[in-house]
Amino acid sequence: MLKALVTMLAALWLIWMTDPVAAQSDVPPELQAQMPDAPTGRMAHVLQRGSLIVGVKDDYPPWGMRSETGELIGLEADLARDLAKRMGVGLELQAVSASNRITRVNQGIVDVVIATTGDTAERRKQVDVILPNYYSSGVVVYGRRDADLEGWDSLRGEKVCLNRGAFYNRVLEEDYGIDGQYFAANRDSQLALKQGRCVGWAFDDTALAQLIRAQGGAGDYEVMNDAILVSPWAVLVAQGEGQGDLGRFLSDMIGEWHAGGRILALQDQWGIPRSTYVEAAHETWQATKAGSPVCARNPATGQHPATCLGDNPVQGVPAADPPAWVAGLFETTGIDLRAVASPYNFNRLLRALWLTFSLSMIAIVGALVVGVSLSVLQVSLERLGRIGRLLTLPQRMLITVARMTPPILQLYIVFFGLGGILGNAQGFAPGSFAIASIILSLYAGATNTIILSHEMTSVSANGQPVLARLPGAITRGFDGLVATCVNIVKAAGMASAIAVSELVSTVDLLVSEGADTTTMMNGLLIFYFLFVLSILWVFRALRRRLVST
Amino acid sequence: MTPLDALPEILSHTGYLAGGFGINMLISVVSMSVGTVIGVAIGRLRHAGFRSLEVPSRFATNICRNVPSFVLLFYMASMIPSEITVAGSIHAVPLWIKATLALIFPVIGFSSDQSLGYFAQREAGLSGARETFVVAWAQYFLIIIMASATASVIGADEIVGRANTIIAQSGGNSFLITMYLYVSIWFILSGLILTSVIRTVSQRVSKIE
Repeated sequence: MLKALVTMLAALWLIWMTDPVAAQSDVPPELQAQMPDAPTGRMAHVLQRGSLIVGVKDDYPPWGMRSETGELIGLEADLARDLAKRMGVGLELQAVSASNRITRVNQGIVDVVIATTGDTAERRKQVDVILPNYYSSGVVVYGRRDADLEGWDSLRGEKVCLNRGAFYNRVLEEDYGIDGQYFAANRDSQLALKQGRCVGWAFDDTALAQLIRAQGGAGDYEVMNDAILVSPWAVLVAQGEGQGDLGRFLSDMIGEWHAGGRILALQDQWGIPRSTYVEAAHETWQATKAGSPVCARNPATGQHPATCLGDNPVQGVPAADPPAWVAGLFETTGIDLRAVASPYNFNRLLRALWLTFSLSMIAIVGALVVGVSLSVLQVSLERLGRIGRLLTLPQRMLITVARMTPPILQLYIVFFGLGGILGNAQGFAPGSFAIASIILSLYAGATNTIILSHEMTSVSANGQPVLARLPGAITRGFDGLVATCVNIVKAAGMASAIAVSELVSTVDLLVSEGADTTTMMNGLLIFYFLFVLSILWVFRALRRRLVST
Repeated sequence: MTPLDALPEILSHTGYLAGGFGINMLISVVSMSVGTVIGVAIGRLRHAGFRSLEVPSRFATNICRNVPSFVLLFYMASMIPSEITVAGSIHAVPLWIKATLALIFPVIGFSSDQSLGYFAQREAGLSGARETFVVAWAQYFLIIIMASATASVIGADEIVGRANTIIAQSGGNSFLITMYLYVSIWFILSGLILTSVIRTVSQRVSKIE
């Protein structure tokens, strides 16, 4: 019994010793991260909770991805595990995306983000960036071999798929002249590229090189050679935590990873070729002077030497002073339009406004036309008895499917499914705006059909011709029709899932790029309040006219 | 890989997806019932004709009705704390609660308007007012169930979010369409069940009238 216990303890000791996390024996003590004696701030919160919540990617293999059983794994998940072990707490991983990672950490939903985040000057204003940086990537384009993508100049004016939330999107549009098609996730951009909705997909060279390797280099796709906008990656914590206990601990841990070659080892483990950036960082952090490590915190200042922390961050947005009135407005009222005052963002907002307006109008008219025509057809056919009812079957099925499938799924299925089939068969895939207009019209139109046909059959007007019943049916079902139309206007934001850059998604994007959250969200709230109010006003005027005739 | 090849694998996740769909139903039922009670109360106030109450109740309705649920979801996500401390231990606030709170608002706006119409029709002595209300309410219930599919935007653990997890697990887009079609069937079936239940109820209601 005792012998078994001793053996077990010895085995545990061995595991403990060989565990790279517990003690990186080749890292000098000055560079080993220590837990603070009396933790405060977010660090204290994590210890009280007993687990560390880290946001990682789930679509960026092998940095962050799902295992076959659905767990989040990858190089960055391993780094997160190192942190939790050293802190002596459990680990909870949560999937984050490029467009929500900064919000999630600032809202306190996750404690730390390790999710391939490029370190830029704009992001340093939104969130606390932990230095040193731990990785690096540049931007390349992935496209069909036969598309002959040679140099960035060949992409000027071409449709290029982009992931929402990447810092370089704006530079690619403004400086490289590409026509960006925005998708929410890697898989959507990749699918859109496969279906020929863009000539290439601009994304991190790290991820795309890995994609090519996964295909064994024999696929139909290739990566364009010259990477641009190379930027280091940073670990993120909420604003105000960077200089606190948690931030200092993370900074020391990253230094220790570099000094001990932990990230290089993880690259080997995950089959990623060693990157020159990580090798250089390893060299920097390993350096000693007169026997002591160069990168250790200076006892006098408590800071790591600047040379160990990396270069200045990349500038994702050209620095420009806002017009005087915008600055004045901010100083006097706190309304912060500085980020949207640039011509690029202003034009984007204007285009989004126009798209939202036109999509809403088309959907309202479409929904009313569909509702009136299908309900008239249905009631007329039903009067023909059994055969007539049989004839209504196809349209009943259409109505059922259209109103009982979430529009967000309808958009995906038609855009990527049907659109792909049409595109492959005839070389013509309907545009995203057209698809969104049709789907939204049908979705709301199906509900309108139910309301109108119900009103047309339930009244005591059985002897009347079908068309004569319509005005009465519209009057009685008016509130319901208006509610459906208002709902479709509010739901138009979903169209962004298939690269229609309407208002809600554009505002979301501007916020993720550093525009002031309070101003933008309240602006959106006021816009919709007034927009729907004016739609209601038009409907009310229509009702008055309908009643008077 | 053809869409049908993906089917056996997708079907093997049915239990996990069903759990997610349970959350969709929870979000929809709670927001529909709470929103209807508050909305009808506001509608009654608007109908009662008290001058002092008319402006605030109309304003409340406008706010609830006019603001897209995405904006409300965002507000809920950032204003309601993500964790609460109870007796020294920290608990996460489930994201479905935030999604439900966000969806209560449009239901309030809808049922305030709809009940105002109902009270007006009743007062005018028009028949079928109750039935009209029930039919429109059922339509809106469906709309809210469909809207619950967007709750994954703030990370709520519902069926579309779970479907996306499985798609990511399979290594990308190989069965995105088949998966979404399968998830659609769940929504269509629940919609059919809901409408048949409502139809029975509204027939009883019209008999009472």
